[in-house]
Amino acid sequence: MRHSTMRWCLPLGARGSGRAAISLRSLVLLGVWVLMDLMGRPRLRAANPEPPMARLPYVQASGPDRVHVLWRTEGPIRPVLRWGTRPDRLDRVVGKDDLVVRASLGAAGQAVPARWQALRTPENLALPKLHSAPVGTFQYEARIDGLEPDAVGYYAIFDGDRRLTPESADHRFRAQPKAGTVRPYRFWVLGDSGTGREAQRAVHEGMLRWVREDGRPLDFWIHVGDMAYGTGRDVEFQSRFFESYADTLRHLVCWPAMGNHEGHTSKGSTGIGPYYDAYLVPTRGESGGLASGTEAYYSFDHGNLHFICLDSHDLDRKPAGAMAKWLKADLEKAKADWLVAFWHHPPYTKGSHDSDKEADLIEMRHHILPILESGGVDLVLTGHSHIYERSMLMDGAYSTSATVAENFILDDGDGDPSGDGPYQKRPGLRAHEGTVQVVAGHSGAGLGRVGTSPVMRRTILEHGSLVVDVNGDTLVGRMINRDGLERDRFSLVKREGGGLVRRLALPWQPPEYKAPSKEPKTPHPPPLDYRVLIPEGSTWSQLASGHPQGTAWTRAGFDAAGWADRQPPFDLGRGRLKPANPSSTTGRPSLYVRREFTVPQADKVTELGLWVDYADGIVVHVNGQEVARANVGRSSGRNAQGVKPREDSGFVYLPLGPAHRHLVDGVNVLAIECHAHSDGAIDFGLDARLWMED
Amino acid sequence: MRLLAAALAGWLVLVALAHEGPEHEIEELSRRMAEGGENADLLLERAIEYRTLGRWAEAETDLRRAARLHPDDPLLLRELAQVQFRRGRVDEAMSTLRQALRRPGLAGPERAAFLMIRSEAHAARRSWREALADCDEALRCDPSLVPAYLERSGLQRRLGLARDRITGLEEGRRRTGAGILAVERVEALLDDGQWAKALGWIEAEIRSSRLPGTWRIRRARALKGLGRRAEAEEDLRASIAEIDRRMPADRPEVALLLDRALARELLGETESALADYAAARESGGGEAALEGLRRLRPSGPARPVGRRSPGSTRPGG
Repeated sequence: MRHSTMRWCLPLGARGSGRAAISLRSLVLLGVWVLMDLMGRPRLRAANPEPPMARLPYVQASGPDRVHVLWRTEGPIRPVLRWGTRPDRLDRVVGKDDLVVRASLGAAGQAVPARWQALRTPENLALPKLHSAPVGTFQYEARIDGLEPDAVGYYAIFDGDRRLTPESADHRFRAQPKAGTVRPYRFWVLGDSGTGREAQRAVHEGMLRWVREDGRPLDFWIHVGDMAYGTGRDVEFQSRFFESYADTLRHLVCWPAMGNHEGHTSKGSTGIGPYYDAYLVPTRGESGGLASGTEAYYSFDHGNLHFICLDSHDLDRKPAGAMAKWLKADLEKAKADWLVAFWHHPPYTKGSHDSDKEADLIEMRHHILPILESGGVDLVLTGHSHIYERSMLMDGAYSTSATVAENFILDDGDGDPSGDGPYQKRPGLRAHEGTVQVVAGHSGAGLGRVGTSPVMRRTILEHGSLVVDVNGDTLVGRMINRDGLERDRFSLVKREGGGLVRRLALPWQPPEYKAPSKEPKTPHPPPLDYRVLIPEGSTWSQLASGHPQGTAWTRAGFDAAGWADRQPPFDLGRGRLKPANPSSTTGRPSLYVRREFTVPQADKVTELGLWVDYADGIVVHVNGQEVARANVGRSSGRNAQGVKPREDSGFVYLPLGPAHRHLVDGVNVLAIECHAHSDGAIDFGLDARLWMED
Repeated sequence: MRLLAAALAGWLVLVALAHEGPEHEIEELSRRMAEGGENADLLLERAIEYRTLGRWAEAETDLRRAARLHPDDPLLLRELAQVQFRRGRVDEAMSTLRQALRRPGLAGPERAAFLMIRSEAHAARRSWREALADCDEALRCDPSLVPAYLERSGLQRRLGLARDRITGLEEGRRRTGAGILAVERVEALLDDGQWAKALGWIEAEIRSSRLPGTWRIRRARALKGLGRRAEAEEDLRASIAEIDRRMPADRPEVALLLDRALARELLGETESALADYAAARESGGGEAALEGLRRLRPSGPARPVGRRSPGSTRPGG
C-alpha cells in the first residue's frame, strides 16, 4: 500500500549546492534523464516492488540439476511457481514439497500493525521465521530440480491463478554446467556496494553497458560483502541490494560472502540474521565441493572452476578451527582447472583499510592463505577496503608485520596480454605457483586510501567492479569503472611449460603514495529511491521568539498554541534574519520548528533523512529523541553550546541516523532547533524537507 | 539484542558510507561521544574497532561500560565475554557468561553460542567434563552447530569416551551433512582402534581425492593397526613426498606440518617429527602440536599412551 505523498528517484548526480542551483541542476538532469529513457537506454531504478510483491524474484543456489527461485510478498499468497523451457510455455509447476515458506509475524512483545494481527494464526506462527523482516512479510523459496546441466528455463510467480510477474524472458534461469565442462564462462565481482546511492547504480550500469557492448553475457556473480549498509538490516538488504540489483538478480545467481556490515545483524556462528534469510547457498555439497554443513562458508563448482567462499568476519580463522579444517578437506577434493576463493577482509590492502594493522585481515593472511596457496589457489577476491587493488603474481607473503614484496613476487609484469603478457602457470591446481589478489571494495561506498601495498600492480581509487572471463586455459580479469570503461586488465594462462617459479629478490615497486593534503569533506549522498514525507512548501509550527520549555515540543501531543504556522524557509528573507529572540543565556538567535508526519509501517523504513539548508547549527529530534546535530557542540535549546558557523551553504542531505528506531506506525513528530553562532550572525535560517528511504 | 542492533544501525549509517578504517572510526566515535555523551551503541561500535586493531584492553573497557548501560543485552555480553577470554581473563569471562546465560529468554542458537564460549573457557582451565557438558547443551540448543560437534569430539577423545564420540559424530554428520564431521568420525574410529571399519571409508576418500596425502596417513594408521606395516610405510613416505611438494621449507602451513609430523612419528623418525611439531606450534598449531611434542619428548609432561587411552591417542596402531 503506497502512502507516500511523493516518490522520487534521483537522476544521476542530482546533488544540491544551493536552493536555486539545485532546482536548475535537477531540472537539467531530470530532462537528460527523461530523454535517455525516451531514447530507450536502459536505466536501473531502485524502486520498491508493487504490492503484493515485497521482494522481486531472484535465483539462488544453483547446481547442475537444480535452481531455487525466492521472492517475498506483503502478507501471504497462494504461491505458485510455473516454469518451462520457453517463456510462453510455462507448463511445469513446483510442487508444495519443493516450496519453503518463511514469515515475519512479530516477536513476543513487538507491536504488530493491525492489518497483520489476523495473520498470527498457529499455522502461520509455526512457519520458519524471517529475522527482522517487516511484520507481514512472507518469503517463498521454490526449488526447481530434475534439470539437465546447463538447461535454460523460464519462470513466473502466481498467486493462485493470478500472475504476479510480467510476461518476460528476463525471468529465466540456467542450471550450472556439469563439473569439469570446459567452455567460456564470465562472472561479475563486486564489493562494498550496498549504499543505495548513485555510485552503486553507476557501477552496476557501467558493468552492464560494458558487457552489452562486449557481446557476452554474464553467467553468475559474486558479492564479496558489505552489500547492505549500515548494519545489514532486512530493510537495508531490501533497498540497497535487492531493489538495486533486481534486474540482474532475477536471472543470475549471486554467490555471497558476508561483510562486516552484514555481520552487525547476522552471525556466522548461529547462521541467523537477514543475510542468512536472504541467501540460499549449498551446505551439503549440492553444487559440488565438500559439504560445509553451514551457510557461513561453502564451495561450488561451475564448469572447470571451483569456488570457495569463506566467512572472514566472525568465525574462528585459526588452522584448528572448523572453517580451516573444512577448507583443507575441500581443497583435497577439488579437481577443477581453476580455483577461486573469495571472502570479505583482504589479506593485502592499503585502501581504506590497512592489512598490516587490522587483526581480521592479518589473520586471513596468516592462517588461511597458506592453506589456499598450498592447495593451488589461482585468484583471491576480497573487498572491505574501498579501493581497487590488483596484485602481481605472488606467493607466500604471510608476514604479520609490514608486508613486503621481495621474494614473494613470481612475476612482476602487469599481467596484461597486450602489455607485459599474461601470468603463466602450469595446468591444473598446483601449490605455490602464484596467486593474483584482487580487492574489489570499490563498488559503491565512499573510496579511501592510506598508502600503496607493495604487492599490488594496480591501485585505482575509482568506483567500479571486476568482470572475469575464463576460457579453457586462460583467465582474464577486467576492472570496469562506473562509466563502463576498462581500467585494468590482467590474465593468467595455464599451459605446459609455464609456471617457472622464480622468486624475485627485487621486483617492480609501485610508486610511493603521497596522501593529499586535507581533503574537503564531501556531502553525504542522498538515497536514490525515497519518498517525501514532508515536502517543500509544507506548513510547520514555528517558535521564533524565546525558547520552548523542556522537550515536550519535540514529541507528539504537544500543545503548539502560541507557535505560528509558517512555510519554510524560516529566515524572513534568508540571510538577514534578525529575530526578536536573542537567547537569554548566549545572546544569539534561535528558532524552533516542528511538524507531524505519517509512516504507515515503521519497520519498513531503511533511513530517514533531511534535505536541508541551514545556518548555523541545528539539532534534530524525532518523537522526542535527538537523531542528528550539526555545528552544535553540546546540549540543546537555550543551553546549546559551541555553535559554529556553517562553512558551506545550500541544501545538503543529512541522514537522521537512529531515527528509524524511534518511529511508530502512524503519526510521528519531526522537530528541529536552529541556532546562530553569534548574535551578529547574518546568515541565519532553516529550510527542510523530510525524506524516507524504504 | 534487537534494540541494540537497531540502534547501531542508525548511528552507523553516518559512517558506513564513507568508511575510512578503524583509526578514523575510533576518532569519529570518540568525537561523537564527547559531543553527545556515551551510549551503548557507540561504545560497542568503538570496541569493535579497537578489537580490529588488537587493542583488547580498550575494547574491554568500552564493552564493560556499554554492558553497564544495557546489562541485559546478549550481544554486548557475548562480545565482552569473547574479549575477556581472548585477553586470558577467564574468570571475568565466566562471570559475564553466567550473567548472560541467566537471561530467561536466551534460547536456541543464541544460547548455544554462549555455551560454546563457556565450553572453550572451561577447556582453557582443563575442566574437560564441564566443557563437555556445555557442548552437549549447546547441541541441544542448536543441533546444526558444526563446530560444537567438532569441539565435543575433541573433549570426548580427551576423556576416553570413544563410543560416545563416534555416535555423536555420526549424529552430527546426519543432521548437518558436514563433510568435516565425516573426516572426524574416521579419526574417531582410528583412535578407537576400529581399523577395518575405518579402512573402508578411507579407501573411498583416497580414490576421490586430488591430494590424498592426509588420507594416506590415516590409512597408514589403519594398516599399522592391522599389522600391515610395509604398506603403511609406503603410504607414509608417499604422503611426506606430497607434503614436501606442497609446502616449501620457507612457507610453513600448519595443517601440513602436523600431517608430516604425524607421518614421521609413525615412521619412528622422532627428531624430524619433533621439529615439525615444534614448527607447527610456532605457527599456531595449538593443542595438536603440543600433544605431539608431549608424546615425543622423553622428559615432556605427558608420555606416549596407548591407542585407547584418553588424552593423546592419535598415532593409534
